[in-house]
Amino acid sequence: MNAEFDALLRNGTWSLVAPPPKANIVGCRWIYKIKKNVDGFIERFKARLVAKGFHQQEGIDFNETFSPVVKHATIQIVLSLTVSYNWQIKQIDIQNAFLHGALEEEVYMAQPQGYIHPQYPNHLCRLHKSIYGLK
Amino acid sequence: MFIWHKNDVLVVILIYVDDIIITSNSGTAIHHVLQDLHSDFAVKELGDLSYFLGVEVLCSTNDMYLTQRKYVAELLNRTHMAETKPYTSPMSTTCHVSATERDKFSDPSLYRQVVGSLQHLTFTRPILSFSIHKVSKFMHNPLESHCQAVKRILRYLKHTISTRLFLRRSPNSAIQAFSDSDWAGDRADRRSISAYCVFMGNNLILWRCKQQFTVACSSIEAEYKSLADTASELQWLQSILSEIGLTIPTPQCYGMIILEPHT
Repeated sequence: MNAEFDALLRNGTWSLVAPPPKANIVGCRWIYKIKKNVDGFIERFKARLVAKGFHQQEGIDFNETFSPVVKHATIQIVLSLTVSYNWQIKQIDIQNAFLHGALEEEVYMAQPQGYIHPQYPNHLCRLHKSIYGLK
Repeated sequence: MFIWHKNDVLVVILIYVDDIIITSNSGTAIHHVLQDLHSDFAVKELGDLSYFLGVEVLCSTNDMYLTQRKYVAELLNRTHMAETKPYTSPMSTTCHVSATERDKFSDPSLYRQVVGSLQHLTFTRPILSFSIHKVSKFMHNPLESHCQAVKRILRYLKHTISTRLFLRRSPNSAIQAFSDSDWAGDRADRRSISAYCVFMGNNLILWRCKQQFTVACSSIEAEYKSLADTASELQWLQSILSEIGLTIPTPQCYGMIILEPHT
């Protein structure tokens, strides 16, 4: 849980601000998961902070949703070219890909439970980067 | 898809949300791209392409196999069809799925889930395009008979679980397209179904089965509509290939005009 919180801070996901008037506040909560390895033994406990995206209102704190998806046919074409011309082909995975998305809209999220700033308990997290559960 | 072209070096990057494939005619170019990505993101290199979107990729120097064996096995397990009797064809030739019967299928969301999973299978199974197209038309209101058709497809999958799509090095990149259609095969609205497949050199790269928007008054009309659909797809293919920077000969398109009268 601390690791997840630190990762979010390191990523510059939000900054604490005084609550602006009439802000639409998106709630958040911790989701816990027990990760087991193939033999069924517990590998680690995982905590993830998710925003309650259903609190968001279109036009106020989200305008468009976007996910890059390539057409199946395009993949087939590229694979076929790869074989025909003997190109090299590599696969990569971006870790926490979702959390890299920069936000243009003003989204205010409540402070996560257990990590409320002692000096500013009423402040809100103004989100700069995307977080799981957001639209 | 992102394309980077400079002098003779070409890099193509395909992105499916967080699954990324990088291919290039130069190994050092791939290396540079990976280094640049490393400086901005936490990137995990998974080495040569082996598993992408549920598709296993088996590579050797001159050919490549694509298979969804794992995906099919999981689907059969999930639907409790793993122990079922296999069937050698995905649909009976006399099958007429209609939307007008009384017996509703008890669990529509299960039907949608399974058919959705089946749709992903057309990625390596051109032969399933038609039967999956048929059962996909009733997602909004599945009936018992549609469920039977889906079960038949699953039993066929059990029979063909290790079927693979084969891509091999071909001496040329000539594009050939084949188009066909039925005529008024749908008893409910009498619209015809177009189908096409496109080869680049030896390799099958595109295929589709799709109902035409309007009713064709003759089989020739249906065939021409199918040819038109195919031609527009070829147009797209040509534009994407020229974007990649490949020059290819003009595609050839073949239709099947049946000269026997229909009865």
